[in-house]
Amino acid sequence: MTTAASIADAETGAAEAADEAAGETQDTRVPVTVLTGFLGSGKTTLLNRILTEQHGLRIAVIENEFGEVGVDDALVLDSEEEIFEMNNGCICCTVRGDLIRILGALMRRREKFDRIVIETTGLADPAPVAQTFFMDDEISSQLRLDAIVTLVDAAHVLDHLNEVKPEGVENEAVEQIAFADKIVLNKTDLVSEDRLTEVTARIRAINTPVEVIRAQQAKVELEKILDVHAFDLDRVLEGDPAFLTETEHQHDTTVTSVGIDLPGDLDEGRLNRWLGQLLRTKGVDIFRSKGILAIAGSEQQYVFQGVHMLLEGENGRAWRDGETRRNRLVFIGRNLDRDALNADFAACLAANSPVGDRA
Amino acid sequence: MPRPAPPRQAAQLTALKNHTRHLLTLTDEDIVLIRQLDCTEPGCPPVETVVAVLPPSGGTRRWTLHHPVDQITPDLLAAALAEPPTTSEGDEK
Repeated sequence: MTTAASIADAETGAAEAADEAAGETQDTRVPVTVLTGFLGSGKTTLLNRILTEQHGLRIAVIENEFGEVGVDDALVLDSEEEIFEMNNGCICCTVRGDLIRILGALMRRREKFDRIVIETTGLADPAPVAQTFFMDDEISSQLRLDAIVTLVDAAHVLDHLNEVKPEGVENEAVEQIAFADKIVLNKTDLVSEDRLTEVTARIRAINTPVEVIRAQQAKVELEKILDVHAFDLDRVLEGDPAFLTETEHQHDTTVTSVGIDLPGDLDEGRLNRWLGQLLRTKGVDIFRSKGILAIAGSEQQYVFQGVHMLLEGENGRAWRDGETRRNRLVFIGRNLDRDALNADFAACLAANSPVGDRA
Repeated sequence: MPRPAPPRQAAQLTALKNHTRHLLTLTDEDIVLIRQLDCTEPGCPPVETVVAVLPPSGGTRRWTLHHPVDQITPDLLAAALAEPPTTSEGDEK
């Protein structure tokens, strides 16, 4: 499979100052959007729009293969898809070698673009793409995985989700939905409202917090999928603060979401031990995780996001005066034990310290 | 739980990668990854930095330095890379 990168011919002078949040550090890393979706879901249509429309954004697009649309002044790079498995004792992950090379080449031309979009193949596992942004400190110092956007064909997605795979073979449609921060539910004109409701419920059964954006002919406002900080749980909760405790869509499904929302401060030592053990032993089945935590003794929120065993965290904004210190996190994965996750996390609260821990 | 990410020192990381390329006489096709990891496994150091080389032909070489990435000097790197790597033949799928 060939990967190619091109930079959309776009007007310069795109609005850059919109993210200047008062008093908070601006993240100047280049936002990266990963586009996934089955064949026929509308990915190519959306990519062609990104490449050809006068949207005023300077976007570098990394495609699976050279696009059909010619782009003036495009920077084009290509390489073969390579998936490397990295086993480092405690951590096992896969990365995309071709992406590392192509991103390195793009960053040497940093002045030519403001955003990057990566298209994956219809059958691609999103994990190696996502983990590529977690497994190298140079990449993560320059690039920020902004969102995984999955296009879904409203007319056919249920067939893909219901497809029974041989043992040990992943259902890619399920994985692509599980990994997504945003779902573009495309071709809504081809199905009934009842069907759309059914499809949306099925999507949320797998990935409860995901935002579902309806579209026809892949016409979705680019500002809804590019530079949206969808990996940032805080932004997600602003849109739907109740999702963590939603249970109405909890169907019987192997891949699902578990949200936790608990007030109180966490004992950092016990949290480290629990989360470390959880990801070491269950990381293969935990596709995505993200959270905002209150660590005892810290004036700042602790924000983390992870893909399988790889976790990246840092201090976020300060807790505000009068704000309830609380912990919100979500896991999306296979065969998640909801009760165990809730109980084990609650045991990390400082107020629940065993007597021996308080010395 | 990782600690707060180290300062975003892209220039230092680029320099470490370039030094790795020089020391190992790598080609442009070889990929160098550097990642600081936190580990809570009993018996493991709490912080380590992994340097990995991924050649286009498959199979990886890895070295682990028991230092945070921002404390790795060229001398420390050279000493680590002089040791035999952990290899993973056929890592590339």
